[in-house]
Parts: sequence; C-alpha cells; structure tokens
Amino acid sequence: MKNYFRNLRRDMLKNRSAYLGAILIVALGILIYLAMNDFTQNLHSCISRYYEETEFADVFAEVRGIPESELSRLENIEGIETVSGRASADARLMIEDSDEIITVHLIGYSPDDRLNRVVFGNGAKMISPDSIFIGKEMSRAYGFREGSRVRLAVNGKISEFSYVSRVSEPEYLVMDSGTSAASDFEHYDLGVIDEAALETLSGKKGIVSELGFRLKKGYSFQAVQNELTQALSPYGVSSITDRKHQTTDSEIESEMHNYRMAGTIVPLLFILCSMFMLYIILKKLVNKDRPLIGTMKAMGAGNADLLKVYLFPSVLIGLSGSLIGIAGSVPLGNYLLQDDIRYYGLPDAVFVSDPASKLLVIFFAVLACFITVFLGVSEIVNINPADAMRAEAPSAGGKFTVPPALKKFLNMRQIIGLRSLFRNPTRSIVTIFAVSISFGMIANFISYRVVTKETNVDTFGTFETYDVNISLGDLKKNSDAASLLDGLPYVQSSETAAVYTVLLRNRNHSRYDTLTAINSNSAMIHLSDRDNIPHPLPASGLVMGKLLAEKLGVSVGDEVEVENGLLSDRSVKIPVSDILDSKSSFAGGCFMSLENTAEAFDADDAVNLIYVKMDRNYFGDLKRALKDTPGITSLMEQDKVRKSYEDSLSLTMNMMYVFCAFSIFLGIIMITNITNISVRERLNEFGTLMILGTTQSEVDEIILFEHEIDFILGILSGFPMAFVWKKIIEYSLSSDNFRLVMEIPPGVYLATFLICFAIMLFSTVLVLKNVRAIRLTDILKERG
Amino acid sequence: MGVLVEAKNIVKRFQVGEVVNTVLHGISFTIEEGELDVILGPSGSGKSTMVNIIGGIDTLSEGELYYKGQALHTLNRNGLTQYRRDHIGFIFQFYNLMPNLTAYENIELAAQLSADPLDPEELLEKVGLKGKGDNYPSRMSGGQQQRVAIARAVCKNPDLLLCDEPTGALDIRTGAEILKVLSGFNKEYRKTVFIITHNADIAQIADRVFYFRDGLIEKIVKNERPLSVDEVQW
Repeated sequence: MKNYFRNLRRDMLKNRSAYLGAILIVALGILIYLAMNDFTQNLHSCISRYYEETEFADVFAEVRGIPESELSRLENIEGIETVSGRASADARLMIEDSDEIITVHLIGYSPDDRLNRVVFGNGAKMISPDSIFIGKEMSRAYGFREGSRVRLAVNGKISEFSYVSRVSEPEYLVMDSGTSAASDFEHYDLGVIDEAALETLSGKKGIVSELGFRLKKGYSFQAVQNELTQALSPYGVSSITDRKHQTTDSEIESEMHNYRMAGTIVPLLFILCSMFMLYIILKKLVNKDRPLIGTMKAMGAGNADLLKVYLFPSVLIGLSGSLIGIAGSVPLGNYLLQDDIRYYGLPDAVFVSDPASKLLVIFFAVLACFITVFLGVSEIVNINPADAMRAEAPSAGGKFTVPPALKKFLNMRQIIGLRSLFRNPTRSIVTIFAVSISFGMIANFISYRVVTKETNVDTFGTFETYDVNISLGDLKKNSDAASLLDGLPYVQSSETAAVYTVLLRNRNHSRYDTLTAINSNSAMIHLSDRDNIPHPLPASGLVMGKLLAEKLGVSVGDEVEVENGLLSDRSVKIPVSDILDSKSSFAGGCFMSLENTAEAFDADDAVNLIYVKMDRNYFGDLKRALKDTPGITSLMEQDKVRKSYEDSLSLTMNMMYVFCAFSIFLGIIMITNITNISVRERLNEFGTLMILGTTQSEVDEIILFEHEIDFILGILSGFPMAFVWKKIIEYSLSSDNFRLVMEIPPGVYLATFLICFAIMLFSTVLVLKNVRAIRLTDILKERG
Repeated sequence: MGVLVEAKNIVKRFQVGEVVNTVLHGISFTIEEGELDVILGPSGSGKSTMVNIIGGIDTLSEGELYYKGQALHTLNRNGLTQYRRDHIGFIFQFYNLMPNLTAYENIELAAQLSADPLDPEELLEKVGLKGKGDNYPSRMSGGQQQRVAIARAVCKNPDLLLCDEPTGALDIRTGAEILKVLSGFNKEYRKTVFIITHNADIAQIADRVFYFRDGLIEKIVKNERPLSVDEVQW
C-alpha cells in the first residue's frame, strides 16, 4: 500500500490549492475559537482575581446619605453578612491652561473598608490627609507623577492634594459620567483621598452614600431586595442592584458574552464549511479513483487498507489547520486581553494560554476532518473490483430538457452549460451554496457594524440633536439649572432634563432602569421608532422602551410603580402611554416629560442635565464660562461623545472587519475550489471541444454562462441564508439588558453582491486559467 | 488527386524534467487527398504523436509540415484552432461525446463550428441512427456513440478525418460496422481518412499502410487492391 499512498500523495500535491484551502479554513476557525476562548478565560480569571482581592460586593446601593453608624443595623437583615459604606463626592479637577470641565469622582478611603477595596498602584499607601490617588487613564492624560500637585474644587472651594499614584476600585472600572455611557476617563475618573479629608471637603461628617453588601452563602439578591429597599428608603435610595447589573460587571460580562458567542459561532461555521469542502473533494477523488481502487481490490487490497490511505488527508488537514490556528491564536488573544486591561484599568496580567484547550481543539479538529473524510470516502467499501475496472457507465442524468421557447435564444454552448447545471445537480448545488453562504455571512458581518454604529453612534444627530450635554452632579430646581446659561450669547437654546435610575415594578416583575425626563416638546431629544417614525411625548404617562416593557410584562395603558429615593420617599404609579421600539441605545429605559415627572414625584429639585444648542465655534467660551460654576460634573460636546462611543466600539468594529475579511477569504477558497473541482471533472469535455475546433473564447463562454447562473442562484438563495445568519447573530448577541435587532440595509446587500461578484470573478479567472492549461494530446488518451 | 499533407523531416521531442525524450526522429511522408490510410505500429512508436501533429493539437520540434501547401509549423495557437475547425475531423477511441447534448445536438454542435457543414439529420441516417437523435450518449451503446462521433467529425465537412483507435473500445462486429461507416464516408464524400490502429487486419482496407517503429516510418506499403470491410476476415 506504500506506493498507493504515494499515488494519493501526488494527487494531493496536484490539487494542493484545494487541500491548502481546507487547512486554512480550519486554521481560521481554530484561530478565532482559541483566541476568543483564551481571551475570555484570561479576562475572566483576571477580573475574578481582582474581584476577590478587592472583596467586590454582591449587592450595591446608592443613597442620598446614611449615617455610618446605621450600617451595622443593616447586617441584621436576613441574608446579609457584611455591609460597607463610603462617602463620595464629585470634584472639579483644576488643570492650568485647560478650559475642559474635568471631574474626579472622589471616594473616601479607610483602611478598614471591608468591601470594594481600592487598589493603589506600585504598592503605595495613604500616607497623609493631603494624599490623592487618581485613576490610571486620567493620571496618564494629565501627566501626574508622584508629588504632583492636584487642585480640586468642591462646592466652590479649592483644595490642593499631593498625587501619590494611580488607583483602581472594582465598582469604577467603567465610569458613567452621565453625559456618555462610554467611559471617558480624560473627563471623568476615580479619585481616592483619605476618608476624613473627604468629610472635611464635603462637609458631611459620618455620612456615607455608596454601600456594598456581602450576602450570606445560599442567599440571592432577590431574597434580600425587598427588606433592604425598605430599610434604606428613609435615606433616599437612588439605586439598589446586584453584581450582575452593576455597571462594571455588566459591561465586562456583556463583552465576554459577545466574544464567547462570536468565538463559538464563527469558528463552528468555518469548520463546517471546511468539512463540507473536504467532503466534496474526497468524494470526487474516490469517484475519480474508482478504477484504481477496483484494481487494488482485484490485487487483494482490503477495504481497511484503502480507507486508511484515503483517511490520511483528514489527519493532515486537521493537524495542520490546528497548529496554524494555535500559533495565530496566542498573539491575537494576548492583544485582546492587553487592550481590555488597558481599557478597564485592570492590574497588569500575563496572558496564559491553556494547553489543555489546545489538545482538545486538535483532537476535535482531527476528529471532525476524520468523520468528514470518512463520509466522503466510505463509498470505497461499495466499490466492486469488476465493475470499477470497466469504464463507468455514464450517468443517466436528469430528464432536463431545455424548453423550445428558451432554446431559440441560446446557442449550443449555452445549452451545454445549462444542461450541465441540471445534469449534475449536486455540483451545481455545492457551487450555489458556496456563493449563498458567503453572501449571507458577509452581509451580516458588514451589517453588524452598520447596526452597531446606528445604535450607538448615529443616534447623535437623529435621536439626540443637542450640541453640548451638561451633567449636574445633584438634582437641581429647573429654574436654577436653566439660569446657569443666562447671558451667554452663543447659546442658541437650552433644555433642562434629567436621567434617573428608577426601580420599576409591575405585579411580580421589578427592574432598575433609567427614566429620562425631557421637555414635552423637546427640540433636542427626538423619540422615534425603528422606522424613524416620531413618537412625541404624550400629555401624561411614560414612553417605555420595548425590551423593558417586555421584561416588566407591561402593555400600553398599564400602570407601573416607579421609585427613586432621590426624587421622593414614596413610589408613584404612572401609566404607560406608549411603547417605543427604537434603534437607539439611548432609548432603552423609559421617558416622561420633565413637568409630569416633577409633578408625579412632587419634587422641586428634579433636574440633573442641560442640553444645549449653540454656535459650535464657541465651545471654548462656554467651557471657560462654566469652568468655575459649582455643581457641574461634566460638559461634553456631542462630537466628543460620539467619538468616545466610536473609540469604545472600535475593537468590536475592527473585529467585524476581520470577520468580514475572513468570510471573503472563506468565500474565495470555497467558490474557487468547488468550481475548480467541477471544471476539472469536465476537462475532457472542454478539451474535446477544443480539438473539434472550438476556440478558447467559445469554451470560456460555456463556463461563464454556467458561473453566471450559479452566481445568480447563489445570490438569490443568499437572501434566505442571510436571514438565517441574522437570526443566529441576533440570538447570540442579545442579552438580558440588550436586544440586538439586525437589519441589513439595501446598501449592504449591494456591497455584498459586489464582493461576491468579485469573488466569483476571481474564481472564474482561476478556472479559465486551468482550462487554458489543458493539454489536448492528453484528451485523446482519456475516456470520454 | 493532390497532396493533402506533406511532412518533411519531422522531429518531436518531449522534455520531462531534465530528460529529453525524442519520439519522432525526422520522418517525412505525404498524404494524398481521398485516401484511406492506416498507421500500424507498436505502442510508443510515435504514431499517435504524428497524428496529433497532423491534427494541429501538438506542435513539432523540428521539420516542416504543410497542409495543401500551407505551412502548419509556423501557425500559433489560434491559427491551429482555425485549422482544426476548418479542415480536421477527429474520432477518438472513447468517443468523447458531450454528455449534456443529445446525439443530434452533438452532431449539430460540429455543424455550428463549420462554415460549410453537412446536414446533421442526413449524417445521423448515414451512420444508422435514424430516429435516435434525441438520445443522450449515456443511453447509447459504445458502437452507437462511436457512430455519433463519426457523424460529428464528418459533419464539419473536413478534408481529413483523423481516427485514433476508433474501434479500440468496441467488439469485433461493432468495430467492423464502424469501419464500414468510415470507409463509406471515404468513398462517398471523398474524405481522406487516417486511422491509427493496433489491429493489423484493418490494414487490408487501406490504400496505404504506414508502419511505425521507434519514432521512424519503417515502411509505407501501398495496397494495390484494398478490400472492402465485408471482405476482411475479422
């Protein structure tokens, strides 16, 4: 069998592009799988280690203020083991020669903090009451070094601190300034000072506002939620949430979920495509080798001997693909990890590549290829030596007859092409499938990018049309907030607004989400649905986001109980007047008019945001004018908010580009190889035509005609394929807090069509090159 | 009757890696119009290579080749395609019919390649396949497929029919019938027929017999009284 194996090896060398293609597809699949898997595992262990070291709490609450002495009383609630609280305040960072409004979210440090402990950089310690530690990104942005003087303004009073080192705290890996959901550490970051120093700055002695709770083993958030809410309600509860919904953890988990899903589905598809292609290659190979197999059997070779030879490619492809994939996965996984560590300000971590997963991947890749190849070559068992050595009876083919009406429009070469498509339907289906799967994948990967951009970035300019968003630290009276901009000539118009975290209840459903209160005829916020149809704020009641309405089991006309301790000590019942299914990520919670909100909660101080429309040339003047105004946490130009979203999404967007590139690559490999296999089968036919005197361009016409039809059918079947992909992506990337609704715009379909056309053209050129290489003298020796 | 093909000192070499293999060692001959010639010779003697060169599907390494006085050895790929299209009909051992065309359409395909084709319907009848024009090759016997191949080759109305082992894949009786068809075309349409074969019996129907050995023409024997196919003892 050694020489028979040599024969197969030489055959593989002749068809090396097909085998290399299969190896590369397997390698790409494994690269994505391992890179994502290793990255999420490393990030998970990095974050878990960090949570453990810092005693990250199980439950979090924010209140207006609770005496520290009252905290121990909360430990009496059944299920709560430990309570920890700290004071916090927003302070303006004064940077010379800068008009930017930069806010440091100060928290008070005590060495006795039991939960959510801070981690100082370089093993530094709190050495004096004027020491300050600032988040890594802000420290870097403003070049703070040990001993740098840091000037902070709190309530109009400026204090000076001495910078010690960078700091992190598990609750603040993601910072929400109120003006941009994406962290913008240059304008809003964490600062840690001594507990007593913060009390002096804020003028609140023994009062804490940020609470963390450790639950006893066996207790869940739901078990303590009600009693805890009641116990805290006298202190003005702003929010109570479990770890799963805490800003940092929910963002990191959501990111890991997305990577895990992408790292499972995309590789699975790549490996399936590779298996599919391998199956076709091996099936055709065995078909071609029938006389040889028959001869070998006649000479006494057994099925097992022959199967062993033909199964060799499976081991080769599985193993080579795995090794290439593994080699590429380590740098990619490490890049993703380091990027996230930098983004979240996590402690440095060394990327660890899990050898067990590599071995498992090699095993499964080889197994998958082995099974595929076995299915492809299992026909060997049924080959009868006597039959195989005779010339194979030509396939009876289908009964396809070109309709006479159509026939008169076609020349003989087109008829040959058309009949060929129908007489070998498997070959045609495989080519059509290659086009359609590429079409479906590419359309969705491009669209995902478009949808993500539409949802998160393009919302500025359609849903939110202000120029500047000013976040006020505490709730203010409407008139006080509006007066902040008095006398500024470049301000064209402004609207006060508010975003609160509220607890919403309907029957046995409850959920924390945002309530955005805006002007009833707002010119800055335009509620509109997925089809861009405006949904103006109703005269009364709430407009609720669709996902939230579904979570709460609410329909239009139902009343929900809404609670926010900062607005009111009591919960209020508000009817749902409209349910909004919008593209914008901003439209996730619920909306109500500012007037109705203030009235419903009977709150005078109900404003914490100002939207401004202004002459954009005067941003600098606005910043200068408000720089020393107390009570402003941040001021963000819309362009910068948009950019911060774009930056935060850049990794995901780039990943989609990579997936797109991989899909195009997959399309080229599949379409080229499958069309080449198809043409290789028919070289004799084309050669005969050329011997008869058919010119090269006339032979090309047959192939082009077939490819045109395969392409058209591939594109047509690509639409349902794109739909299936759309559903898979929607299912995979939606989570408890976010529902992805994929839409493939006509422009993307057009772009995908052009990409697939280019792939098909490229494949056709390669195929025609093969036809041009036909040696006519060989045709005479072959069986027709 | 004039000279159809004239070969002068033809040499053909193949290079495989670094090894140069000379298959034809400088052979010269002529083919007369309207003849039925047979080439005999053992495997590897160069007879197929010679026919491939005459048919314009292979090129010579040295020498000169003329078709009705036109130099073939100077033609490029396109020129050779046009030459095959206008003047040559090929008949293969394994028929090489288009599987996706019916018997009639296979013949018609050749008609579409020619400026002055014969009537496909008439040819179908001549090869004894009247009424079977709608059959696909897959539903025909080997003998029937070869008849279609002959009709296809003749339909272009070529001057020279080159047949490489046309009966090699057929039984004796069917092979004889095929030869009868070829001989008929030679006589009726005055087509020059050039047949490569291993079967020495076929030489009895030829006007001339070319004996090939080791890349050289050993001898050319003129048959003073060619037999008809029916007269040959197969």
